[in-house]
Amino acid sequence: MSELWELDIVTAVQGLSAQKFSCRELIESCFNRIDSVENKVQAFITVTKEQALNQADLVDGADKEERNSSLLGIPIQLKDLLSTAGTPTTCGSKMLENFVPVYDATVVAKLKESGAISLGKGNMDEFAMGSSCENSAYHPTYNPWDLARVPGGSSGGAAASVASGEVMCAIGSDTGGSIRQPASLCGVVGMKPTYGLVSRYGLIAFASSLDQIGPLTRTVLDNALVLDAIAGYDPMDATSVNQWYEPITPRITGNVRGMKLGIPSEYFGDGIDDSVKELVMDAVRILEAQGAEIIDVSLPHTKYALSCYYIIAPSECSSNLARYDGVKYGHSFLATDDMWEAMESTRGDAFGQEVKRRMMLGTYALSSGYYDAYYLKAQKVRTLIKEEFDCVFQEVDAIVSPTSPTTAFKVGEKTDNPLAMYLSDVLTIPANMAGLPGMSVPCGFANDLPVGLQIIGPRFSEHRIYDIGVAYEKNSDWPRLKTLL
Amino acid sequence: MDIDKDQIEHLASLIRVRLDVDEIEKLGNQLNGLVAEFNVLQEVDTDQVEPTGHIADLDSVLRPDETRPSMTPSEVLENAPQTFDNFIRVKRVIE
Repeated sequence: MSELWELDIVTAVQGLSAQKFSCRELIESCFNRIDSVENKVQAFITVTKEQALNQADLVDGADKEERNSSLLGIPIQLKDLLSTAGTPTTCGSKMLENFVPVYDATVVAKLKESGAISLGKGNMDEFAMGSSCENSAYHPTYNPWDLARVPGGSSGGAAASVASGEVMCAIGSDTGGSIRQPASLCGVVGMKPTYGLVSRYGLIAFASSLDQIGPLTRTVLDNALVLDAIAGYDPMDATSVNQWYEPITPRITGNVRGMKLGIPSEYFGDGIDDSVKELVMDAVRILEAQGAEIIDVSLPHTKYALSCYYIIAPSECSSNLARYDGVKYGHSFLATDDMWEAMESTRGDAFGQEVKRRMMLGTYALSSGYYDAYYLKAQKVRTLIKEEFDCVFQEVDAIVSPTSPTTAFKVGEKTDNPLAMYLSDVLTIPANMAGLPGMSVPCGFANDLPVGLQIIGPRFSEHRIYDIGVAYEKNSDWPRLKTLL
Repeated sequence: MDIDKDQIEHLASLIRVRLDVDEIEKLGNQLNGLVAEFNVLQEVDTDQVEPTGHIADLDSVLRPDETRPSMTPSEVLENAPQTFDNFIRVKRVIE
């Protein structure tokens, strides 16, 4: 018999409900797994074992009528940029090493309501800036499929914890691919929802016009179940979309017959590994065999998206990170009476290289004399990228492509070359620029490393994206869990 | 045009970050490489294009002007590095 930590969420919910096992047994099984693999994977910054076991006992002691929450007893991990009342929230940075929030992010509160149990906080690139999880101020995370390689980033801890069986779901955030790219590199399912679908209240901000929270899981259906628990209007987030959220899970059919799927030539060009392209096209043929119509499309401004993103995101971050002044919270340099010296030392000491690089870049793009040439120009190109998607979505229901140009790269391979690192996100960034939902689904292995299929749809088309994901998943059988570590 | 050392130091002062000599040189090289890459945007014709600052179709989001409970002073001050009574202690701002 398989171990409890190997179960998917849907099976675990059924098992708990039928009392085939207790919640404590389930949570203890995950902690046993953490004990045996965490020293190799290092997916957590903080583990909250005592809290989790107490919650498990509460679940086990609950009356039957109290046991109908959608994720009751399900072990999850929260990326360490989601505010958790009473539990340290570091954002992967020395700046917030001792920061303990006094309130929960809306997503965290909603997950508690749904009965999910957090086992701890996930490792990440500092302030979510990175594509490899090597920019964490604490330690890197390693890819469960090959421990010499990165898990992707910035939600690297999230992807690695799900792929290694430490948790059944992890909540990540995606500004330019930070959910989908690590999901792809670790062989799990990762969804970045439509901008505005999930509240960002309590999410430590990186680039506010791009950031979006979403789930990483081992199956598509599990993913939809978690999205249903965290999505919906929140008056505490002014960019949250004020419309009724209709749960997706009951609507998923996995039927793609008659659906039109666009293949954008620009997503299969130079710089994309042949082995990745081949596996993605194999997946496309599987969808075609189920009745989807495959249509070639073109998104010619794709080649500008990367530059556009690396102007806009750093500009927003240089503004968002101005709040870390060593006065209100966070690291503080105290050994001086001079205000500016204190602030400059606080920020100089506690921010890592990538964060400094992006703040400098953003400030440059926003500064007088360069604003029009860089920031304003990038905002205009953003309009063109968005309009181009709108146009293509008049013709097709969704776009399918690779998620990442390559499989997981070696630890240290790209740390000294920012541009090479930035190129990891070249296929995920456009969806953020246009606020679109995008999901990565495992579609095979190249040289024993996972490859992801990316599905992008119009705004609020998550249900259709999940249909495509399910349609592919039920006709493929790639392992989602690295059991031997 | 290259970003020179003076400009790097100016940017560092704008973002209030102390940089050491090695960082100034390294960041200078990296920033120049990245900005050169970003110049690809100049080839796009954007004369008739409006900028997009935000993707959500939202007008000003307002709420009723009503009092409501907030965090307590002790909660607000819980993470402050230095406090005095119910205040955050700061460095001298005006000489």
